[in-house]
Amino acid sequence: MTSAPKDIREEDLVAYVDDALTPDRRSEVEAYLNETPDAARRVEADMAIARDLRRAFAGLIAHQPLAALPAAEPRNHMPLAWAASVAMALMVGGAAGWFLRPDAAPQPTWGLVAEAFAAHRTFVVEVAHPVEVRAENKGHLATWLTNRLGRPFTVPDLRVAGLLLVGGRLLPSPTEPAAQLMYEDGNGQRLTLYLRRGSDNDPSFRFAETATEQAFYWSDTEFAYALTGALPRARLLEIAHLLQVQFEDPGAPT
Amino acid sequence: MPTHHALAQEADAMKRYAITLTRDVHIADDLVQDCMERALRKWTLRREGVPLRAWLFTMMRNLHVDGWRRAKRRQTESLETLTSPPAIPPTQENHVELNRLLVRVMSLPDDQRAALILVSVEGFTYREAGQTLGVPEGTILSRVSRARAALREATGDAAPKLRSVT
Repeated sequence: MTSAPKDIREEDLVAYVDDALTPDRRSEVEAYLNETPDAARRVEADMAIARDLRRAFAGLIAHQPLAALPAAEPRNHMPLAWAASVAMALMVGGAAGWFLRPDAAPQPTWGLVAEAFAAHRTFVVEVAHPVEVRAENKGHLATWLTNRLGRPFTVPDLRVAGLLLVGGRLLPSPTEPAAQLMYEDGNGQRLTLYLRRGSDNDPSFRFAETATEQAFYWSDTEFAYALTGALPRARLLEIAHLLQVQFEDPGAPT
Repeated sequence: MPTHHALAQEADAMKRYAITLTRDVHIADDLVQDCMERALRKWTLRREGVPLRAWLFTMMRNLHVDGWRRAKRRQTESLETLTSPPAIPPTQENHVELNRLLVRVMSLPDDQRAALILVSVEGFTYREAGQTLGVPEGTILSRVSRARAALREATGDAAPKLRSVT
């Protein structure tokens, strides 16, 4: 009884990594990988490279210091001066700019909101790889985040608010690993919850916004949370409430 | 205005692609800005059915190629004058490893690097990447294949290759 490798070729292994195979071909490749440790190792290495590339490029964007904003020099060759200024405003609003309301954000949640916005912008537009672990593997996601965040972690359920889990990912943050969970409503509108250790222990909901997205953020004794989306403020707040009650304070006495 | 909102949503992706093309964060900033300006001017000429990101990336690549030709003609700029290679700050987890990867990616041939980043980072299908770069799907696949083989080798994870893509 020999297992037929079914003529698996280089392009199959490449396309497997990019999830570009038909379901049938995909299972054939999977069978082949199960029997061929060398090929399996190579595919794993390719997947790790893809993952690291996404991390590296996210890092290049997410941690652009605010001081690095392009200076607003007028460009003489521009036929339409307004276009230059609009483009500049977009650079500020889109690439690195974000504005807190003056009454908000003492340290250390200042950084939290910037990180959450950057992570939100990076991943909500993704089509193929919005999350690293998809909702189907919710159990695995919870275990993974429990281990890496160093806290008991259950993935909050927001179905009552009409939101389905897309999945989640671990992210680098300036201090400790952070996590992002993504949810989607019936219209494909996506929300993200960003959380990490580092807290001002203030459970009240605070609001921050950029030109394109809004966030409510809060914290418990050990963790800080930011819920980001482009939804009406009241709706966002309602969802923040739902999330807060589902997270047990890891530092609270039991 | 919906135009601006849509463009702002693409700012990060544009920056990533600009870095991929220019390999220099400051030149990339200029390229993103040039591209946003042009996109605003050409907005109404967008063809239906072309995804916004693919449209922007095609435009950006054309701008980059034009700029590169201009620079070459003037003989004022060369690769050696690139001064701000992309790197992530030391505050980030795994920054040493990720920066090493960035250096390797930036040293890949331009065609391979663009194909790999479009597919792996931006999640383009081979078809979308092919349309954006103006080559057939199969070419994208073989470029991605070669780029990955080079990176694998560099990370010491070289494993046997199957019959190669032609």
